[in-house]
Amino acid sequence: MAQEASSSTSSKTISLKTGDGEIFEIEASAAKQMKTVQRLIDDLGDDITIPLHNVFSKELPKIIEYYKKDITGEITKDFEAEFVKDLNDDEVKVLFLAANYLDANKLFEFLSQNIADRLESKSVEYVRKYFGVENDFTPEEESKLREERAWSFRGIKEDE
Amino acid sequence: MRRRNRINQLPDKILHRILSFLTTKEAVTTSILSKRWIHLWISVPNLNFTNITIDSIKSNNKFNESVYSVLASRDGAGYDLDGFHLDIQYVNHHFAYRRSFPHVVKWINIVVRRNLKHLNLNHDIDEPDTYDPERDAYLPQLPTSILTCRTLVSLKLSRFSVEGLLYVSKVEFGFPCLKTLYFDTIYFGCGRNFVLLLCGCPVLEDLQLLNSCQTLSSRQDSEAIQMFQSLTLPNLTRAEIMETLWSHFPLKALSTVKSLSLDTLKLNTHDQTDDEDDDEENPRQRTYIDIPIFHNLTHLKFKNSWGLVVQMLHHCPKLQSLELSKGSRHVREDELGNSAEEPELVPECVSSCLKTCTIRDIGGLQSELILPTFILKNARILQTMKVWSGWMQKKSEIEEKLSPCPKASATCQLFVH
Repeated sequence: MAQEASSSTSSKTISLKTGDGEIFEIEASAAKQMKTVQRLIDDLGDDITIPLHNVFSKELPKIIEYYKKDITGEITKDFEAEFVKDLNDDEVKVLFLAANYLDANKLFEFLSQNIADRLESKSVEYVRKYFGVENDFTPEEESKLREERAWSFRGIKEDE
Repeated sequence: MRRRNRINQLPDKILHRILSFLTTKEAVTTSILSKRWIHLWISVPNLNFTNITIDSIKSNNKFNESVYSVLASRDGAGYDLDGFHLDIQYVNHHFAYRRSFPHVVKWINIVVRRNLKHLNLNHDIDEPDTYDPERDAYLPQLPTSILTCRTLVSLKLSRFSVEGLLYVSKVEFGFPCLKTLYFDTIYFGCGRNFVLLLCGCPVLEDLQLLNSCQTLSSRQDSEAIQMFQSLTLPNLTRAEIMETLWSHFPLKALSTVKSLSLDTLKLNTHDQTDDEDDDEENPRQRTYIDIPIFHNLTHLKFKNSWGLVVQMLHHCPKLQSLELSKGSRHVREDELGNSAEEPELVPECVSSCLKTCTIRDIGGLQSELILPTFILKNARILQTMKVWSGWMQKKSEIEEKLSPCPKASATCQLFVH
């Protein structure tokens, strides 16, 4: 539990505890960018370790890395490309859900764009799996819909 | 295994954010994910038909069918539209103007009635432009319904002509919410109408004018010239005006910008029709009577007419980055005007703010090295000076002449390409 003695708010750090019990430090100005965290700080005070039940130790450091760059105004297209370069689709999804939970708007927008880019021209079955959607169409209903929207399905890959 | 949320459990509003980054065609494909998704794409507030190629009657009909069906689905639900983006590549004029455009106009007439905020219309044709006697024009006519869309926040258009507009009352012309205006190859049959339009965009922040040509006549357009000269754009932070020939252009309307790209050869403050002996081979020294102080300008890109550069530098107290180029036109020695000798006074920005400087198209004339030398000698916090030799010029010759030059900044690095 970190108790910072510094007087200026800009150098103050906040402690965050993930759902799997690990603790990470983040600067107060970066925490401000995550509205959920800020709300918890407003309610619980900034000396308490903020619990984040739905965010885990695998993804929080990456999120902290993003906002560390953000508060110095250094986020560029190159940085963002590098940020997601080695992440697979599932890792991006996890970050996206965390950004949504944390109400971290800038990261959320960036990851939305990245997910859209990754799903471009992927098959319908892949996208269903990715989003966690259960197909509740009958085969007849589905083929009818595909026919109606035939113009939009050109160029989309089919899963084997 | 930890419990994980599924994206599908998120509310519609959140899913819209992802869908809005897809093109409309891709968004429509999500309609077969499940019953919940059948109509989800419809309320995505942006329509994006980009990377479209029309090269046959079949592709033209399919594309038209798809846009109509999308618009019909949305119209049925009565949704507002935030953005409409079209980017189409046509194989020839026939497909563009006979088969496609009449429909494009219909679509635009529909979307502008939906409180549209962002409109982006681009098209290109593989054939060179030819004169169409039926339309008496080279470029397609801009749908005038766009001009009635008062909710627009950004407007980006390329390759249209705006003609046949009667003189419009000042009060109704223009976009009161418009922050971004990009015009590329837009021809106004009547220059006055462009002035009225620009004066009707008081909150403009980002202005880009590429490849346009307009003249105002002192005799016929005196009221419009007055309006133009007194134009203020207090929120303007970025302006790019290239390959654009304009008479009476008010430089001071750009005075609040942080970033400016200017092609100065073709801008002048007087009526070109007055200069009978002023032709391309003998351009008169263009002096701006009224260069404003650019209090916020940190990035300047200047093309042509280096004679103005030093004068300009005296009006940019905070300039950090300077880029100069000449363009393809060969510049004669006497055209460089003031820069035949080293300037007497060092502009404040050069000595205390300038961090990067790029100078392109340097030829063999001694006078062309005066400016880079002057900057190197006086720019105390300069970090990078990049010099590009012109296409006939050997890089090593320039390097020989510039490398020994004394540098005011100890950390300055010189690159010659």
